[in-house]
Amino acid sequence: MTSTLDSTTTVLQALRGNRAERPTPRTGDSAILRAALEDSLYAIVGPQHFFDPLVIRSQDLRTEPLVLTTALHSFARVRGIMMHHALRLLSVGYSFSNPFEDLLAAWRCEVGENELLSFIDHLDTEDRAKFSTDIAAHTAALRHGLGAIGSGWSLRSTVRVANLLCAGAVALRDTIDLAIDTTGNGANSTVLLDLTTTALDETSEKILRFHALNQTLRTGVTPLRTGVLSTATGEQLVRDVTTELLTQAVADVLEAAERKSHP
Amino acid sequence: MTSLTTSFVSPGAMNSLINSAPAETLEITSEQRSALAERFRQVSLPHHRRLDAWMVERGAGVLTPFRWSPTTARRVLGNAALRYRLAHQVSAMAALDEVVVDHLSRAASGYARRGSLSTWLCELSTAQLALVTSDALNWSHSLEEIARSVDGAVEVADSDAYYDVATGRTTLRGRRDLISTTSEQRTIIRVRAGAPGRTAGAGLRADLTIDAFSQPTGHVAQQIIGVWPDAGLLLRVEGSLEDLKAGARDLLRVANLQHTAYFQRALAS
Repeated sequence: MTSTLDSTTTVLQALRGNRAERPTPRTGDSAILRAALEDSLYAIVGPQHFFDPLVIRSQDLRTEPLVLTTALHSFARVRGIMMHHALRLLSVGYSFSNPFEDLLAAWRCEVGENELLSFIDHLDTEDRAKFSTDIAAHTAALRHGLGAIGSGWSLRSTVRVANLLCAGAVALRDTIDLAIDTTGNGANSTVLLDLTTTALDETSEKILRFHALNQTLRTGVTPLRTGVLSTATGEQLVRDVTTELLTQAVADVLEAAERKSHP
Repeated sequence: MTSLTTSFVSPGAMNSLINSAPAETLEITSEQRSALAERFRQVSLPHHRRLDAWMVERGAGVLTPFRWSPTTARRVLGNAALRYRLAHQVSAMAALDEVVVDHLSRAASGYARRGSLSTWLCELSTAQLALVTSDALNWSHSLEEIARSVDGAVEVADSDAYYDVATGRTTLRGRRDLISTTSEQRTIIRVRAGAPGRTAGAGLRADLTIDAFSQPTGHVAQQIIGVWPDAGLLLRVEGSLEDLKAGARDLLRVANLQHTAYFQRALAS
């Protein structure tokens, strides 16, 4: 895996590249990928999942499960959720005054009350202050890493995907943190971004591929590029979506399906 | 036999469905309106009620009480923003700002009801308002992408379809997002989140039926197309007599379930 820690190019610049060099959209990959997935997945899952679909998410691509203590796990989950909210707010040009309080208010507006919000509400003053600083740092890294957002771009944050395969026996569920531009405007200009609050690792590359595969199946058009930005380290990783990358994504999904159906 | 066609989202898929709409045109007659009203009257409740396709899809399932959230507000705001954008040729963000400001000024000037979207938006902080805007912008972009994939004339629906069955103290609400019209046919397009379930076809049929009854002329749309952008799926139900009958039957089934549940509760207490 090769990641970039380049302060001169933002992740959005790297993803969008040179406008003049964008190819025409590829529309033939979707059917080929779907056929390849369905043939192999049916052999793995068999008929037993028709009333209880096998759901494959990006976290299932990880070969070694993450082991965290309960408190660390809660902090990590809250940080992840808050950074996704930060991205959603930045995508509409929001300017933060107090990132932690702003993000907490936004999150509460969406879900009402839940276990994780209650966890935050019950932190003592010192822990809350520490965590607030941590969130401010991640938000600053996100803003810096993203760079300027063009006023004419068509941005969609938190794009949910639910691709049903094998007549609904398998569901590929995914959330693409940011998708820019739309399909069907002449040149292929759809790019995808994933956001992580941890350092990049081998799984990051699999997640990039998973996003590209899901977007291709969902829209019938292959995206141009897919990338990931780490708010923990500022690293970014950007890949062109090629046939090889999508073929590898299919292999990743089949491997995950094998692991989940025969643990 | 009822009709239900499924296809995957791809460039040209929407046009292909629209162009293959059935040629025949149906009209709801006054006898059919009276028959529906009579059936609803038989299962009426002491109070007024509103039925929609979501209730048909859920069947007897318990519905969670409604609360405004970015998710429940996105369709209202996103549709209005796209309608404004197409009429005034402004950016998607500027159109959405106009729509939100309109809601806020309505609440500030005292024209908004308690519990309405305008009142809720007025109570939000700027960060919360930005989150609502973000979700509505996503919806608006998705809707615009679908609208632009249609070759013919397409417009954002002015409002959902409402049909009041006065004698049955029932209002039917049919959701519709886009309407594609040519000289020979009318296609209703409905955008949905998530993936279609087993009852998605019944939901589309209910929306189609309500739309037909809400038309003063009684003209039935040639088809309704449900788009599930998250799942990349298109479902099409044709405006045939069988589909309309099935749609009306499903709505009556929900009305009947509510009627039975209400009187069982009354007897128990």
